[in-house]
Amino acid sequence: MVPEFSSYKISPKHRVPNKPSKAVSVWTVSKWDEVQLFVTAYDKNWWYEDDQILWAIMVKDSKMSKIGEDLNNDLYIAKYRCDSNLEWHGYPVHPKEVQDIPPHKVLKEWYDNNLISKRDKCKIQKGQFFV
Amino acid sequence: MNRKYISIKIEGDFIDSFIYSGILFLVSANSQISIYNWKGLLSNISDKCLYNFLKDCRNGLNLVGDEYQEIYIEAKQLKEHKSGETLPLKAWTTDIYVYSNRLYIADENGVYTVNFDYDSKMLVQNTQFQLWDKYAYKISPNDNFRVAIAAGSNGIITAFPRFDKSSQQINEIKTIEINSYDCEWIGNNLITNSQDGCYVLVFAELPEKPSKPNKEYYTNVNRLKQQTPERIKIDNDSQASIIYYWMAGRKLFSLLKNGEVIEKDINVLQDIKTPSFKLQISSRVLAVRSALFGAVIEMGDNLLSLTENGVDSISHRPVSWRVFPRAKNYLNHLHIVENDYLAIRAYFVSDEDDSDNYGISLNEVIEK
Repeated sequence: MVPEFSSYKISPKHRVPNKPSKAVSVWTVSKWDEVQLFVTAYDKNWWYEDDQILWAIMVKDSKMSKIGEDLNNDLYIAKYRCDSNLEWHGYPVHPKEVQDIPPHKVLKEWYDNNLISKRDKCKIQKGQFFV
Repeated sequence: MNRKYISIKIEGDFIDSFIYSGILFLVSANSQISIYNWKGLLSNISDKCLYNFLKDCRNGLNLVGDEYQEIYIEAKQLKEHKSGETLPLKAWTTDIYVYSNRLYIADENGVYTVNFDYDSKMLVQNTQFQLWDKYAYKISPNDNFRVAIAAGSNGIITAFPRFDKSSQQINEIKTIEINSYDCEWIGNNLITNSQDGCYVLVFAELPEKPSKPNKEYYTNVNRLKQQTPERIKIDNDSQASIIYYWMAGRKLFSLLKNGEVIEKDINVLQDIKTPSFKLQISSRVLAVRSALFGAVIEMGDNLLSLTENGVDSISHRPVSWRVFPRAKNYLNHLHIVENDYLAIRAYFVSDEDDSDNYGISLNEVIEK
């Protein structure tokens, strides 16, 4: 079932002037891009069963485009969560820990639609995605 | 001069490969594992020496002059040598391994094992059994049906399935709290690279199986399997920090941030060789493994070979790659999965002691 939606909130802790910390990543794309990526993920069903998590990427010139930063990495994957009031918010993630790796079903959608390469899919799943 | 090799290219949409006991295991992008008769795939080779060498590198072969050979196997020819039914998968694999007549499969759902029937050379699909039910990044099996699983923040998992009194298969799990995405089990040593350094986990030596094993034997083996391994953090004598560790036979190599490669003896864990040259560390080191011809380093988008002659480029942005440090027949193999084919490099071997300083000779292979 498609997750429900009532509103989207831009979370200030993931936005400049905040700097990335050990626990918090920040967006480097505009707020509009953040929302637009969410809408694309919602529209295209880039989520897995009952996780209530949506995943998105930005592709420019057939390449994944940087959308954020954490303390050690440039970030290319957006993760969106829904709270109990059906309000969504999102932040960029580094696909290393299990909870930040999009599920096979979503990665397959991206791969089948030529948004990511075969290598990128393998590397994301192995926790070895670095650009 | 760099060591020469024969290249065998196999057409297909693959994500991973493995060779074991005359069988080529191929994981395809449509989430299936199919297996192929290796001898059958080589059957068009008329040169007997070359054919025997590709079946088993211990037969040796030296290149004459600048002769260079490339063998191309089309998808249609591959299909002709398929053995048994295709195994469907739920997701793309993160790793596979074939050891002691068992195929191990890791993916986002966990780790599974399927028996491989040595005589019929087929997978026995109704023997599929789940060993771990959470995300798995890397697997490394060992003897007595043990398998180590690098499960990220869930730790290093050792699983050892066994049969209970009613012949029901049950699974024992032991967790070692090391956050790791990469592990390799060679002999009694399990090497793990983690965010806070390299650990060698030293497991108890299991006794040889007698011809008529009794209850006491099995009780003893099960007790030893469940023993917590000794955990040794590897220190570095140099000032530079270490970015990757890997084993080659009994040698433990450390790649330092400044590009130096240090060799230690795994038994004494002391530096035994000083670095002879420095690698240029241009981006993140993702994995290093050794085979007969030297070490293979995946650094950023580049796949490189490290030998006594220096560093050479092998591939740019390969899908995956693999060497076979425990397989005497295929110790000279390097498998590289590219977008629309698998490239197998079979490096030439002259004799049993022929290997590179960064590699493993046939005499140094630790099969378990």
